[in-house]
Amino acid sequence: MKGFSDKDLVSWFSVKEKKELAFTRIMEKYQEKLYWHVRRIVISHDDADDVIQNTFIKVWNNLDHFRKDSGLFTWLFRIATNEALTILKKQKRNKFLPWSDYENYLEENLESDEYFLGDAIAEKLQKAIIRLPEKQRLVFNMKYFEEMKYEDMAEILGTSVGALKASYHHAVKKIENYLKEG
Amino acid sequence: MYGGEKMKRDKNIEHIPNKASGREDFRVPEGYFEQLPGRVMEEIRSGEKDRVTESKPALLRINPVFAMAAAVIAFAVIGYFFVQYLHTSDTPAVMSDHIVSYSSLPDDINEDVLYEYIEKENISAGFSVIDEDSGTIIDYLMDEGVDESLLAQQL
Repeated sequence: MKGFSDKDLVSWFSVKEKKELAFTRIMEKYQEKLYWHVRRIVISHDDADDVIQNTFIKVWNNLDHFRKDSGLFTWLFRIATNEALTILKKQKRNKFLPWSDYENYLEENLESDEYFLGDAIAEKLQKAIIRLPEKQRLVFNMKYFEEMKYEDMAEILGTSVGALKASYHHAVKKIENYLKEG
Repeated sequence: MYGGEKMKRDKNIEHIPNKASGREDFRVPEGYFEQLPGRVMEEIRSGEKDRVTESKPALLRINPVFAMAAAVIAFAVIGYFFVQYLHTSDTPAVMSDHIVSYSSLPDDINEDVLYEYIEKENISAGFSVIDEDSGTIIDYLMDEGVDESLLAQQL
C-alpha cells in the first residue's frame, strides 16, 4: 500500500479485510507530523504520546464517518489539536492553576524534559512561545515550524485566513519583544 | 513550497532564531515512531474487546451453570429464613421473654435463698401492685414447680 493516496486509504478502511492495514498506513504517514505539532503544544513527550494515542483511537472510531470532501490531513490535525488543548485544560483544572502559573508549569516541563536538547537560544524561543495566548501559540507553531498554509490552518482551527494572519503577526511581535528584553 | 508566504514570513521573523533549530531541539525515545502504530493497534484491539464484553447484559456474562447454582442457593437461603420467620412468629413474644429471663438465671441459686432475699427486701409489695400480670406470674411459677403454699405465704 506504499504511496497510496489518502482517498484510497480511507476507502480501504471501510473494507473489513483491509481495515487494519489501511489504518496502519495512515498512522505511518501522519504520525510524525501530528506528533511534532502536538509536542509543541503540550511540551512534554509523555503528554504528547498520550495525545497522539488518543487521537489515533478517535480516528479509528470515526474514520467511517469522515466526510471525504474535506482533506484527511486537516481532519487529523483538527482532532490532534483538540486533544492537545483538552489535555492542557485538564492539567490546568487538576492543578488549580491560573493561566500565568500554568505558563510557569509548562516552562518547568520544558526545563526538566529529558527529551528537550535545545541550546539557550532555542529554550528562550520556546519560553517566549509558551507565554503567547493559546490561539497565537498554535498559529505561530503551525506557520513557523510546520510551514502550514493559512488555508489549511483556517480549516483546522475553524478561523478565517485574515484572523490567522493577524494572530501570527501579533505572535511574532510578542516573541521579538520577549527575546529583546531578555 | 508556498513562495510568497514564505518570503513574507521570513521578513516578519528576522529577529527570531532560525527555525531549523525547532524540531531538532525536541527528541523522542529511540524507536518511538517505529513502535507507535503497533502500540495504538494494541490499544484499539483491547478497547474493542472490552466493549464487546461490556455490551452483553451483566447476567449473560456469567457462566449459566454458575448462575443456576447461585439461583438454587439463593432460593434455599431465602426459604430457610422464611420458614424460620413463620416458626418464630407462632410463639408469643411474652413467653419467649420469660424463657430468656428464666434461663439466664444462674443454676446454683437456691430457691430458699431467693425467698429469704425477697422477704428481707420486702419485695412482695411490688407483686401486689401488678394486678394484671400477677395471675400470669403465679401460673408460671406453679408450672415451674414452686410450692403453692409457699407462694400463698409470700403473697
